[in-house]
Amino acid sequence: MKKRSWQGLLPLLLLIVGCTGCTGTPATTPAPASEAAPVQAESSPTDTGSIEGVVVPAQQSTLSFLVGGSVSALNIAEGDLVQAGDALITLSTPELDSVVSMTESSLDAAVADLQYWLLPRKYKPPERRWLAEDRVEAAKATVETARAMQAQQTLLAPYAATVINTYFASGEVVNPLQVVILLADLENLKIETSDLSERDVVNVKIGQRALVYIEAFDLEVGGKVTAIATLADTSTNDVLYTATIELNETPANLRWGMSVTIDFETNE
Amino acid sequence: MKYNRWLLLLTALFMLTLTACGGGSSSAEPIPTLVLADIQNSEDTSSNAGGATVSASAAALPANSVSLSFPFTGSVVDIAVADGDTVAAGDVLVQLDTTILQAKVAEAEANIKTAETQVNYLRRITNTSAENIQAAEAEVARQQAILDAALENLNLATLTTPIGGTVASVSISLGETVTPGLIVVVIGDMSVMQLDTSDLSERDIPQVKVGQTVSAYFDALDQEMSGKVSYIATQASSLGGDVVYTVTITLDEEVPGLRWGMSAEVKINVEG
Repeated sequence: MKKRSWQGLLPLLLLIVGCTGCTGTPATTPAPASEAAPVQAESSPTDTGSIEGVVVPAQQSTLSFLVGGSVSALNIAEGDLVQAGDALITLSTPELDSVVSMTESSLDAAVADLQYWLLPRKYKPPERRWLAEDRVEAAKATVETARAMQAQQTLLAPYAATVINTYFASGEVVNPLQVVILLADLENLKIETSDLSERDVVNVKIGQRALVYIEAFDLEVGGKVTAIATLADTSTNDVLYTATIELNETPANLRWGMSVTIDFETNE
Repeated sequence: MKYNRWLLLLTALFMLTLTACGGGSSSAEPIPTLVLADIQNSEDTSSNAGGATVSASAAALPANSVSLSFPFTGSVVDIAVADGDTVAAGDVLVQLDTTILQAKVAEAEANIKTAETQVNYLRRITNTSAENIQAAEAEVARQQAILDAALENLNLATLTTPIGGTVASVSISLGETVTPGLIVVVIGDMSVMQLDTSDLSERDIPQVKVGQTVSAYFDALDQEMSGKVSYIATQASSLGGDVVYTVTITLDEEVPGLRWGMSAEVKINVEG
Protein backbone atom coordinates (compact mmCIF):
# COMPACT_ATOMS: atom_id res chain seq x y z
CA MET A 1 0.00 0.00 0.00
CA LYS A 2 2.76 2.36 0.95
CA LYS A 3 4.74 1.45 -2.14
CA ARG A 4 1.79 1.97 -4.47
CA SER A 5 1.08 5.49 -3.25
CA TRP A 6 4.70 6.38 -3.90
CA GLN A 7 4.44 5.11 -7.44
CA GLY A 8 1.48 7.38 -8.03
CA LEU A 9 3.11 10.44 -6.52
CA LEU A 10 6.38 10.32 -8.42
CA PRO A 11 5.07 11.15 -11.91
CA LEU A 12 2.80 13.77 -10.39
CA LEU A 13 5.80 15.42 -8.79
CA LEU A 14 7.67 15.28 -12.10
CA LEU A 15 4.72 16.91 -13.82
CA ILE A 16 4.60 19.74 -11.33
CA VAL A 17 8.34 20.35 -11.68
CA GLY A 18 8.01 20.30 -15.45
CA CYS A 19 5.14 22.76 -15.40
CA THR A 20 6.82 25.26 -13.12
CA GLY A 21 9.93 24.97 -15.22
CA CYS A 22 7.98 25.84 -18.34
CA THR A 23 6.10 28.80 -16.89
CA GLY A 24 9.17 29.94 -14.98
CA THR A 25 11.31 30.79 -17.98
CA PRO A 26 9.07 33.35 -19.70
CA ALA A 27 8.40 35.00 -16.36
CA THR A 28 12.00 35.79 -15.53
CA THR A 29 12.96 37.16 -18.93
CA PRO A 30 10.64 39.93 -20.14
CA ALA A 31 10.72 38.31 -23.62
CA PRO A 32 9.20 41.12 -25.68
CA ALA A 33 8.86 38.83 -28.70
CA SER A 34 6.38 36.61 -26.89
CA GLU A 35 4.39 39.71 -25.86
CA ALA A 36 4.14 41.00 -29.39
CA ALA A 37 2.84 37.74 -30.81
CA PRO A 38 -0.60 37.73 -29.13
CA VAL A 39 -1.24 41.33 -30.19
CA GLN A 40 -0.81 40.36 -33.81
CA ALA A 41 -2.91 37.28 -33.34
CA GLU A 42 -5.79 39.38 -31.98
CA SER A 43 -6.02 41.59 -35.03
CA SER A 44 -6.88 39.84 -38.22
CA PRO A 45 -8.05 42.58 -40.63
CA THR A 46 -6.08 45.53 -39.22
CA ASP A 47 -2.85 46.15 -37.38
CA THR A 48 -4.44 47.51 -34.26
CA GLY A 49 -7.60 45.48 -33.79
CA SER A 50 -10.71 47.21 -32.52
CA ILE A 51 -10.19 50.33 -30.46
CA GLU A 52 -12.81 51.79 -28.14
CA GLY A 53 -13.83 55.40 -28.58
CA VAL A 54 -16.34 58.01 -27.51
CA VAL A 55 -18.26 60.82 -29.24
CA VAL A 56 -17.10 64.28 -28.13
CA PRO A 57 -17.88 67.86 -29.26
CA ALA A 58 -15.44 69.66 -31.56
CA GLN A 59 -14.89 72.17 -28.78
CA GLN A 60 -16.24 72.89 -25.33
CA SER A 61 -15.67 75.72 -22.87
CA THR A 62 -16.34 76.26 -19.20
CA LEU A 63 -16.97 79.98 -18.86
CA SER A 64 -16.44 82.12 -15.78
CA PHE A 65 -16.50 85.79 -14.79
CA LEU A 66 -13.41 87.82 -13.94
CA VAL A 67 -15.54 89.91 -11.55
CA GLY A 68 -17.99 88.96 -8.84
CA GLY A 69 -21.62 89.97 -8.41
CA SER A 70 -25.16 88.68 -8.28
CA VAL A 71 -26.82 87.35 -11.43
CA SER A 72 -29.15 90.08 -12.74
CA ALA A 73 -30.02 88.60 -16.12
CA LEU A 74 -29.93 84.97 -17.17
CA ASN A 75 -30.63 85.08 -20.90
CA ILE A 76 -30.21 81.39 -21.63
CA ALA A 77 -31.41 77.99 -20.50
CA GLU A 78 -29.81 74.59 -20.79
CA GLY A 79 -30.14 73.25 -24.32
CA ASP A 80 -30.29 76.69 -25.96
CA LEU A 81 -28.33 77.36 -29.13
CA VAL A 82 -26.26 80.55 -28.91
CA GLN A 83 -24.34 82.50 -31.53
CA ALA A 84 -20.86 83.99 -31.13
CA GLY A 85 -21.15 87.30 -29.26
CA ASP A 86 -24.54 86.60 -27.65
CA ALA A 87 -24.88 87.92 -24.10
CA LEU A 88 -25.39 84.89 -21.86
CA ILE A 89 -25.41 86.11 -18.27
CA THR A 90 -25.16 89.59 -16.76
CA LEU A 91 -24.09 90.33 -13.21
CA SER A 92 -25.14 93.27 -11.12
CA THR A 93 -21.86 95.02 -10.24
CA PRO A 94 -22.66 98.32 -8.43
CA GLU A 95 -18.99 99.16 -7.84
CA LEU A 96 -18.07 98.97 -11.51
CA ASP A 97 -21.18 100.99 -12.38
CA SER A 98 -20.28 103.74 -9.90
CA VAL A 99 -16.73 103.96 -11.31
CA VAL A 100 -18.26 104.58 -14.72
CA SER A 101 -20.55 107.36 -13.44
CA MET A 102 -17.65 108.89 -11.50
CA THR A 103 -15.42 109.06 -14.56
CA GLU A 104 -18.32 110.40 -16.63
CA SER A 105 -18.80 113.24 -14.11
CA SER A 106 -15.07 114.00 -14.31
CA LEU A 107 -15.40 114.17 -18.08
CA ASP A 108 -18.34 116.61 -17.74
CA ALA A 109 -16.25 118.77 -15.41
CA ALA A 110 -13.31 118.74 -17.82
CA VAL A 111 -15.61 119.70 -20.72
CA ALA A 112 -17.05 122.60 -18.67
CA ASP A 113 -13.52 123.76 -17.83
CA LEU A 114 -12.61 123.70 -21.51
CA GLN A 115 -15.70 125.83 -22.31
CA TYR A 116 -14.35 128.51 -19.96
CA TRP A 117 -10.90 128.59 -21.57
CA LEU A 118 -12.45 128.66 -25.04
CA LEU A 119 -14.20 131.97 -24.30
CA PRO A 120 -12.24 134.78 -26.00
CA ARG A 121 -10.89 137.08 -23.29
CA LYS A 122 -7.76 139.04 -22.48
CA TYR A 123 -4.87 137.57 -20.45
CA LYS A 124 -5.79 134.03 -21.25
CA PRO A 125 -2.67 132.04 -22.05
CA PRO A 126 -3.27 129.52 -24.92
CA GLU A 127 -1.59 126.78 -22.87
CA ARG A 128 -4.47 126.79 -20.42
CA ARG A 129 -6.82 126.01 -23.32
CA TRP A 130 -4.50 123.25 -24.60
CA LEU A 131 -4.26 121.88 -21.11
CA ALA A 132 -8.06 121.86 -20.81
CA GLU A 133 -8.29 120.06 -24.16
CA ASP A 134 -5.75 117.45 -23.03
CA ARG A 135 -7.66 116.93 -19.80
CA VAL A 136 -10.88 116.28 -21.73
CA GLU A 137 -9.06 113.65 -23.82
CA ALA A 138 -7.60 112.05 -20.69
CA ALA A 139 -11.04 112.04 -19.02
CA LYS A 140 -12.53 110.37 -22.11
CA ALA A 141 -9.82 107.67 -21.96
CA THR A 142 -10.59 107.09 -18.27
CA VAL A 143 -14.28 106.66 -19.09
CA GLU A 144 -13.34 104.11 -21.76
CA THR A 145 -11.30 102.10 -19.23
CA ALA A 146 -14.14 102.17 -16.71
CA ARG A 147 -16.61 101.04 -19.39
CA ALA A 148 -14.27 98.20 -20.43
CA MET A 149 -14.11 97.09 -16.78
CA GLN A 150 -17.89 97.34 -16.53
CA ALA A 151 -18.27 95.19 -19.66
CA GLN A 152 -16.84 92.27 -17.66
CA GLN A 153 -20.23 92.02 -15.95
CA THR A 154 -21.63 90.39 -19.11
CA LEU A 155 -20.52 86.98 -20.34
CA LEU A 156 -20.52 86.63 -24.14
CA ALA A 157 -20.64 83.40 -26.14
CA PRO A 158 -17.18 82.84 -27.70
CA TYR A 159 -18.57 80.77 -30.60
CA ALA A 160 -21.80 79.22 -31.85
CA ALA A 161 -22.61 76.48 -29.36
CA THR A 162 -25.20 74.73 -27.23
CA VAL A 163 -25.64 75.58 -23.55
CA ILE A 164 -24.93 72.28 -21.80
CA ASN A 165 -25.09 73.40 -18.19
CA THR A 166 -25.71 76.56 -16.20
CA TYR A 167 -24.62 76.51 -12.60
CA PHE A 168 -26.31 79.67 -11.28
CA ALA A 169 -29.85 81.00 -11.08
CA SER A 170 -30.95 84.60 -11.30
CA GLY A 171 -30.15 86.48 -8.07
CA GLU A 172 -27.40 84.13 -6.95
CA VAL A 173 -23.96 85.52 -6.17
CA VAL A 174 -21.08 84.51 -8.42
CA ASN A 175 -17.45 84.76 -7.31
CA PRO A 176 -14.70 85.71 -9.77
CA LEU A 177 -13.34 82.68 -11.72
CA GLN A 178 -16.22 80.43 -10.62
CA VAL A 179 -17.52 78.29 -13.47
CA VAL A 180 -20.99 79.50 -14.43
CA ILE A 181 -21.67 77.87 -17.78
CA LEU A 182 -20.59 74.91 -19.89
CA LEU A 183 -20.82 75.43 -23.64
CA ALA A 184 -20.13 72.86 -26.33
CA ASP A 185 -20.26 72.83 -30.10
CA LEU A 186 -22.63 69.91 -30.67
CA GLU A 187 -23.04 70.69 -34.37
CA ASN A 188 -19.59 69.28 -35.00
CA LEU A 189 -19.06 66.01 -33.16
CA LYS A 190 -15.90 63.95 -33.43
CA ILE A 191 -14.58 60.66 -32.10
CA GLU A 192 -11.78 60.26 -29.58
CA THR A 193 -10.13 56.93 -28.81
CA SER A 194 -10.00 55.82 -25.20
CA ASP A 195 -7.72 52.77 -25.23
CA LEU A 196 -5.19 53.27 -28.03
CA SER A 197 -1.99 51.97 -26.46
CA GLU A 198 1.59 52.81 -27.36
CA ARG A 199 1.89 49.51 -29.24
CA ASP A 200 -1.12 50.37 -31.42
CA VAL A 201 -0.46 54.09 -31.93
CA VAL A 202 2.57 53.29 -34.10
CA ASN A 203 0.17 51.82 -36.67
CA VAL A 204 -2.08 54.89 -36.80
CA LYS A 205 -1.27 57.86 -39.04
CA ILE A 206 -2.94 61.22 -39.59
CA GLY A 207 -5.16 61.00 -42.67
CA GLN A 208 -5.65 57.25 -42.25
CA ARG A 209 -9.18 56.03 -42.87
CA ALA A 210 -11.13 54.34 -40.11
CA LEU A 211 -14.41 52.52 -39.78
CA VAL A 212 -16.39 53.70 -36.77
CA TYR A 213 -19.08 51.37 -35.43
CA ILE A 214 -21.68 53.25 -33.40
CA GLU A 215 -23.19 50.82 -30.94
CA ALA A 216 -26.34 52.86 -30.23
CA PHE A 217 -27.46 52.82 -33.89
CA ASP A 218 -25.79 49.53 -34.88
CA LEU A 219 -24.27 51.56 -37.69
CA GLU A 220 -20.86 51.72 -39.30
CA VAL A 221 -19.61 55.14 -40.52
CA GLY A 222 -16.39 56.00 -42.32
CA GLY A 223 -14.02 58.56 -40.94
CA LYS A 224 -10.52 59.90 -41.04
CA VAL A 225 -7.80 60.35 -38.40
CA THR A 226 -7.26 64.10 -37.93
CA ALA A 227 -5.02 64.17 -34.85
CA ILE A 228 -2.92 61.91 -32.67
CA ALA A 229 -1.87 63.08 -29.21
CA THR A 230 1.82 63.92 -28.86
CA LEU A 231 1.79 63.37 -25.12
CA ALA A 232 0.77 60.05 -23.58
CA ASP A 233 -1.90 59.62 -20.94
CA THR A 234 -0.28 57.53 -18.21
CA SER A 235 -3.08 57.79 -15.67
CA THR A 236 -3.84 54.10 -16.17
CA ASN A 237 -1.33 51.23 -16.03
CA ASP A 238 -0.88 51.39 -19.78
CA VAL A 239 0.56 54.19 -21.90
CA LEU A 240 -2.37 55.55 -23.96
CA TYR A 241 -2.55 58.11 -26.77
CA THR A 242 -5.77 59.82 -27.85
CA ALA A 243 -6.42 59.78 -31.58
CA THR A 244 -9.15 62.01 -33.03
CA ILE A 245 -11.35 60.85 -35.90
CA GLU A 246 -13.66 63.03 -37.93
CA LEU A 247 -16.69 61.26 -39.38
CA ASN A 248 -17.43 61.56 -43.10
CA GLU A 249 -21.08 62.09 -42.21
CA THR A 250 -22.64 62.60 -38.80
CA PRO A 251 -25.70 60.40 -38.22
CA ALA A 252 -28.78 62.21 -36.92
CA ASN A 253 -29.25 61.94 -33.15
CA LEU A 254 -25.57 61.22 -32.55
CA ARG A 255 -24.96 62.34 -28.98
CA TRP A 256 -21.97 63.41 -26.93
CA GLY A 257 -20.70 60.45 -24.90
CA MET A 258 -21.91 57.62 -27.14
CA SER A 259 -19.54 54.66 -27.34
CA VAL A 260 -18.02 53.50 -30.58
CA THR A 261 -15.62 50.84 -31.80
CA ILE A 262 -12.97 51.87 -34.30
CA ASP A 263 -11.17 49.79 -36.91
CA PHE A 264 -8.25 51.56 -38.54
CA GLU A 265 -7.67 50.62 -42.15
CA THR A 266 -4.24 49.26 -42.91
CA ASN A 267 -2.10 51.15 -45.39
CA GLU A 268 -0.62 48.48 -47.61
CA MET B 1 -3.74 0.33 -8.87
CA LYS B 2 -6.21 0.94 -11.68
CA TYR B 3 -7.89 3.62 -9.59
CA ASN B 4 -4.56 5.27 -9.05
CA ARG B 5 -3.85 5.47 -12.77
CA TRP B 6 -7.12 7.23 -13.44
CA LEU B 7 -6.31 9.66 -10.72
CA LEU B 8 -2.92 10.29 -12.30
CA LEU B 9 -4.42 10.93 -15.71
CA LEU B 10 -6.91 13.35 -14.22
CA THR B 11 -4.22 15.27 -12.36
CA ALA B 12 -2.09 15.40 -15.50
CA LEU B 13 -5.05 16.85 -17.45
CA PHE B 14 -5.67 19.35 -14.68
CA MET B 15 -2.05 20.49 -14.75
CA LEU B 16 -2.18 20.87 -18.54
CA THR B 17 -5.22 23.12 -18.40
CA LEU B 18 -3.53 25.11 -15.67
CA THR B 19 -0.46 25.79 -17.78
CA ALA B 20 -2.67 26.70 -20.73
CA CYS B 21 -4.46 29.18 -18.55
CA GLY B 22 -1.21 30.65 -17.39
CA GLY B 23 -0.11 31.24 -20.96
CA GLY B 24 -3.36 32.95 -21.84
CA SER B 25 -3.27 35.38 -18.96
CA SER B 26 0.31 36.40 -19.66
CA SER B 27 -0.58 37.34 -23.23
CA ALA B 28 -3.32 39.69 -22.03
CA GLU B 29 -0.86 41.53 -19.82
CA PRO B 30 0.34 44.93 -21.03
CA ILE B 31 4.00 45.80 -21.41
CA PRO B 32 6.07 43.98 -18.83
CA THR B 33 7.30 46.41 -16.26
CA LEU B 34 10.37 45.06 -14.55
CA VAL B 35 9.98 44.60 -10.84
CA LEU B 36 12.81 44.60 -8.38
CA ALA B 37 13.22 40.84 -8.58
CA ASP B 38 14.22 41.25 -12.21
CA ILE B 39 16.81 43.86 -11.40
CA GLN B 40 18.40 41.47 -8.98
CA ASN B 41 18.30 38.76 -11.62
CA SER B 42 19.93 41.04 -14.15
CA GLU B 43 23.40 39.81 -13.30
CA ASP B 44 22.49 36.28 -14.37
CA THR B 45 21.07 37.41 -17.70
CA SER B 46 23.96 39.76 -18.34
CA SER B 47 26.66 37.18 -17.71
CA ASN B 48 26.12 35.70 -21.17
CA ALA B 49 26.10 39.17 -22.75
CA GLY B 50 29.60 40.04 -21.54
CA GLY B 51 29.52 42.75 -18.83
CA ALA B 52 27.30 43.41 -15.86
CA THR B 53 24.17 45.43 -16.56
CA VAL B 54 21.48 47.13 -14.55
CA SER B 55 17.95 47.02 -15.97
CA ALA B 56 15.14 49.49 -15.49
CA SER B 57 11.90 50.72 -17.00
CA ALA B 58 11.99 54.12 -18.63
CA ALA B 59 9.77 56.55 -20.54
CA ALA B 60 10.69 58.73 -23.51
CA LEU B 61 10.38 62.50 -23.27
CA PRO B 62 11.81 65.47 -25.14
CA ALA B 63 15.13 66.78 -23.80
CA ASN B 64 13.75 70.30 -24.08
CA SER B 65 10.15 71.13 -23.16
CA VAL B 66 8.18 74.02 -21.64
CA SER B 67 4.83 74.33 -19.85
CA LEU B 68 3.55 77.83 -20.53
CA SER B 69 1.10 79.95 -18.55
CA PHE B 70 -0.06 83.56 -18.19
CA PRO B 71 1.07 85.79 -15.31
CA PHE B 72 -2.44 87.23 -14.76
CA THR B 73 -6.10 86.40 -15.14
CA GLY B 74 -7.87 87.05 -18.41
CA SER B 75 -10.26 85.51 -20.88
CA VAL B 76 -9.06 83.64 -23.95
CA VAL B 77 -10.13 85.19 -27.27
CA ASP B 78 -7.90 83.25 -29.67
CA ILE B 79 -6.08 79.93 -29.69
CA ALA B 80 -3.66 79.83 -32.61
CA VAL B 81 -2.35 76.27 -32.19
CA ALA B 82 -3.68 72.75 -31.73
CA ASP B 83 -2.17 69.57 -30.35
CA GLY B 84 0.46 68.25 -32.77
CA ASP B 85 1.21 71.58 -34.49
CA THR B 86 4.83 72.45 -35.17
CA VAL B 87 5.85 75.87 -33.82
CA ALA B 88 8.98 78.01 -34.06
CA ALA B 89 10.40 80.07 -31.20
CA GLY B 90 8.39 83.32 -30.89
CA ASP B 91 5.19 82.00 -32.46
CA VAL B 92 1.92 83.20 -30.95
CA LEU B 93 0.00 80.46 -29.13
CA VAL B 94 -2.87 81.99 -27.15
CA GLN B 95 -4.30 85.52 -27.03
CA LEU B 96 -6.16 87.02 -24.07
CA ASP B 97 -8.79 89.75 -24.32
CA THR B 98 -6.96 93.11 -24.30
CA THR B 99 -9.88 95.58 -24.22
CA ILE B 100 -9.09 96.84 -20.71
CA LEU B 101 -5.32 96.72 -21.23
CA GLN B 102 -5.61 98.80 -24.41
CA ALA B 103 -7.89 101.30 -22.64
CA LYS B 104 -5.28 101.64 -19.90
CA VAL B 105 -2.56 102.30 -22.50
CA ALA B 106 -4.71 105.02 -24.13
CA GLU B 107 -5.41 106.53 -20.70
CA ALA B 108 -1.70 106.66 -19.82
CA GLU B 109 -0.87 108.21 -23.20
CA ALA B 110 -3.50 110.95 -22.70
CA ASN B 111 -2.18 111.61 -19.19
CA ILE B 112 1.40 111.97 -20.50
CA LYS B 113 0.24 114.52 -23.06
CA THR B 114 -1.56 116.53 -20.37
CA ALA B 115 1.49 116.45 -18.07
CA GLU B 116 3.77 117.58 -20.90
CA THR B 117 1.49 120.52 -21.77
CA GLN B 118 1.58 121.54 -18.12
CA VAL B 119 5.40 121.47 -18.09
CA ASN B 120 5.60 123.56 -21.24
CA TYR B 121 3.16 126.12 -19.82
CA LEU B 122 5.03 126.46 -16.53
CA ARG B 123 8.34 126.92 -18.37
CA ARG B 124 6.98 129.76 -20.54
CA ILE B 125 5.37 131.89 -17.87
CA THR B 126 7.82 133.88 -15.80
CA ASN B 127 6.36 133.72 -12.31
CA THR B 128 6.75 129.95 -11.72
CA SER B 129 9.12 128.51 -9.18
CA ALA B 130 11.64 125.79 -10.11
CA GLU B 131 9.87 123.41 -7.71
CA ASN B 132 6.62 123.74 -9.63
CA ILE B 133 8.38 122.84 -12.87
CA GLN B 134 10.15 119.91 -11.23
CA ALA B 135 6.86 118.62 -9.85
CA ALA B 136 5.28 118.85 -13.30
CA GLU B 137 8.25 117.03 -14.86
CA ALA B 138 7.98 114.31 -12.22
CA GLU B 139 4.33 113.91 -13.19
CA VAL B 140 5.39 113.28 -16.82
CA ALA B 141 7.84 110.62 -15.64
CA ARG B 142 5.18 109.02 -13.44
CA GLN B 143 2.70 108.81 -16.31
CA GLN B 144 5.45 107.43 -18.56
CA ALA B 145 6.09 104.66 -16.03
CA ILE B 146 2.36 103.85 -15.93
CA LEU B 147 2.36 103.68 -19.75
CA ASP B 148 5.39 101.34 -19.75
CA ALA B 149 3.66 99.01 -17.31
CA ALA B 150 0.45 99.07 -19.36
CA LEU B 151 2.36 98.29 -22.57
CA GLU B 152 4.20 95.43 -20.86
CA ASN B 153 0.89 93.97 -19.63
CA LEU B 154 -0.46 94.26 -23.15
CA ASN B 155 2.51 92.21 -24.39
CA LEU B 156 2.01 89.57 -21.69
CA ALA B 157 -1.59 89.06 -22.84
CA THR B 158 -0.14 87.27 -25.90
CA LEU B 159 1.43 83.92 -25.11
CA THR B 160 4.41 83.10 -27.34
CA THR B 161 6.68 80.08 -27.25
CA PRO B 162 10.32 80.51 -26.21
CA ILE B 163 11.35 77.28 -27.96
CA GLY B 164 10.54 75.61 -31.26
CA GLY B 165 8.95 72.18 -31.21
CA THR B 166 5.65 70.33 -31.24
CA VAL B 167 2.54 71.40 -29.33
CA ALA B 168 1.93 68.52 -26.92
CA SER B 169 -1.15 69.83 -25.16
CA VAL B 170 -3.52 72.80 -25.24
CA SER B 171 -5.52 72.74 -22.01
CA ILE B 172 -7.72 75.78 -22.52
CA SER B 173 -10.75 76.52 -24.71
CA LEU B 174 -12.01 79.66 -26.37
CA GLY B 175 -13.79 81.99 -23.93
CA GLU B 176 -12.36 80.34 -20.84
CA THR B 177 -10.59 82.22 -18.07
CA VAL B 178 -6.91 81.71 -17.30
CA THR B 179 -5.40 82.25 -13.87
CA PRO B 180 -1.76 83.05 -13.08
CA GLY B 181 0.39 79.93 -13.38
CA LEU B 182 -2.34 77.76 -14.92
CA ILE B 183 -0.54 75.73 -17.59
CA VAL B 184 -2.28 76.35 -20.89
CA VAL B 185 0.16 75.00 -23.49
CA VAL B 186 2.92 72.38 -23.31
CA ILE B 187 5.57 72.36 -26.03
CA GLY B 188 8.32 69.79 -26.52
CA ASP B 189 11.15 69.63 -29.01
CA MET B 190 10.51 66.10 -30.27
CA SER B 191 13.66 66.04 -32.42
CA VAL B 192 15.87 65.37 -29.38
CA MET B 193 14.40 62.72 -27.10
CA GLN B 194 15.74 61.26 -23.88
CA LEU B 195 14.73 58.45 -21.54
CA ASP B 196 14.01 58.85 -17.83
CA THR B 197 14.06 55.69 -15.71
CA SER B 198 11.22 55.17 -13.27
CA ASP B 199 12.26 52.22 -11.08
CA LEU B 200 16.05 52.21 -10.65
CA SER B 201 16.48 51.48 -6.95
CA GLU B 202 19.03 52.81 -4.50
CA ARG B 203 20.73 49.37 -4.44
CA ASP B 204 21.63 49.63 -8.14
CA ILE B 205 22.43 53.33 -8.32
CA PRO B 206 26.06 53.12 -6.96
CA GLN B 207 27.06 51.11 -10.04
CA VAL B 208 25.57 53.62 -12.48
CA LYS B 209 27.89 56.39 -13.73
CA VAL B 210 27.41 59.24 -16.18
CA GLY B 211 28.74 58.25 -19.61
CA GLN B 212 27.97 54.52 -19.36
CA THR B 213 26.50 52.99 -22.50
CA VAL B 214 22.88 51.90 -22.49
CA SER B 215 20.80 49.71 -24.73
CA ALA B 216 17.11 50.62 -24.77
CA TYR B 217 14.38 48.40 -26.13
CA PHE B 218 11.13 50.07 -27.24
CA ASP B 219 8.39 47.48 -27.10
CA ALA B 220 5.89 49.60 -29.06
CA LEU B 221 8.33 50.10 -31.93
CA ASP B 222 10.02 46.67 -31.50
CA GLN B 223 13.33 48.48 -31.81
CA GLU B 224 16.60 48.48 -29.91
CA MET B 225 18.51 51.77 -29.61
CA SER B 226 21.78 52.72 -27.97
CA GLY B 227 22.39 55.69 -25.71
CA LYS B 228 24.41 57.05 -22.82
CA VAL B 229 23.74 57.92 -19.20
CA SER B 230 23.74 61.73 -19.16
CA TYR B 231 22.42 62.52 -15.69
CA ILE B 232 21.65 60.80 -12.40
CA ALA B 233 19.12 62.49 -10.11
CA THR B 234 20.70 63.88 -6.96
CA GLN B 235 17.45 63.60 -5.07
CA ALA B 236 15.60 60.34 -4.58
CA SER B 237 11.95 59.76 -5.25
CA SER B 238 9.80 56.92 -3.99
CA LEU B 239 8.01 54.26 -6.01
CA GLY B 240 5.70 51.99 -4.08
CA GLY B 241 7.74 52.32 -0.90
CA ASP B 242 11.08 51.81 -2.60
CA VAL B 243 13.73 54.52 -2.96
CA VAL B 244 14.41 55.14 -6.64
CA TYR B 245 16.62 57.56 -8.55
CA THR B 246 15.76 58.90 -11.99
CA VAL B 247 18.55 58.28 -14.48
CA THR B 248 18.46 60.28 -17.71
CA ILE B 249 19.66 58.58 -20.86
CA THR B 250 20.46 60.50 -24.04
CA LEU B 251 19.76 58.50 -27.18
CA ASP B 252 22.54 58.30 -29.79
CA GLU B 253 20.15 58.66 -32.72
CA GLU B 254 16.70 60.04 -33.46
CA VAL B 255 14.09 57.29 -33.16
CA PRO B 256 11.45 57.58 -35.88
CA GLY B 257 7.91 57.13 -34.57
CA LEU B 258 8.88 57.67 -30.95
CA ARG B 259 6.21 59.55 -29.00
CA TRP B 260 6.29 61.41 -25.69
CA GLY B 261 5.60 58.90 -22.90
CA MET B 262 6.45 55.68 -24.77
CA SER B 263 7.98 53.08 -22.50
CA ALA B 264 11.32 51.36 -22.89
CA GLU B 265 13.35 48.72 -21.09
CA VAL B 266 16.89 49.93 -20.58
CA LYS B 267 20.02 47.96 -19.77
CA ILE B 268 22.89 50.07 -18.45
CA ASN B 269 26.35 48.53 -18.96
CA VAL B 270 27.82 49.22 -15.55
CA GLU B 271 31.21 47.67 -16.39
CA GLY B 272 32.82 49.89 -18.91
